[in-house]
Amino acid sequence: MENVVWMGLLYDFYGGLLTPKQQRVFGLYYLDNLSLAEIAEEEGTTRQAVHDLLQRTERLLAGWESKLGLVARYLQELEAVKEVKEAVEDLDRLRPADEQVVRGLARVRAALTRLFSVLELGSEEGPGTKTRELEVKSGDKGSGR
Amino acid sequence: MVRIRLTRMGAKKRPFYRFVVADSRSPRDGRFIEILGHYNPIANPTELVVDKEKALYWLAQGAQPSEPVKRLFKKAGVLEEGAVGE
Repeated sequence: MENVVWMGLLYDFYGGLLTPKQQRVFGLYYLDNLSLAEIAEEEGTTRQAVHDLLQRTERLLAGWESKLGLVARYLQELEAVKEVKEAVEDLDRLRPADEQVVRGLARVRAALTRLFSVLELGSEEGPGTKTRELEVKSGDKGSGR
Repeated sequence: MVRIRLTRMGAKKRPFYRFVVADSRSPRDGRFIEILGHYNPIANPTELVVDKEKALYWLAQGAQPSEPVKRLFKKAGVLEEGAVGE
């Protein structure tokens, strides 16, 4: 996984434990992808100070992840749930004639919907095409040329 | 200076990124000049889409790609190994 993606996920899970300044600088670097020099100008400090702050913040996040492992666990759950969903869809496509099998599949689907909401995947769609297009569109608003 | 950034969109725990061309003078407000593509790291398989023509145009204009952009552009075949800004 790209370092920037991993850092972003660490921030999603543990960012709330950082100080507002750590959150701001980390966000500018890893979410907005500004350079050290650009952040230094924003913050009215030096490039070196921004670099040091980022390193300290990264160490904090890595420390929490090594103790709690929430991100690694989340990614594993995500993979497993996606696989189950695909398997259920495959079974569904066979159009089972047995009433009991149909009811069983419906129960699995309902449980999956709950799991998707626990994993904060929004809808049953998951991070699918529909959601993505919506995100891109809403992101376009107010970002004039 | 014009830069090419990988900016994160999408919700918490659902990373989704866009490649944007932006001026470095107004970095904070999220304004950008053009979108060059997107990157969805948790899709299976990973989704990486770059408008090669536009990207090459901006690189030729001297737009500076950030480190992650460089790496992903190489992966997408927009940049060759050891190209631009190395």
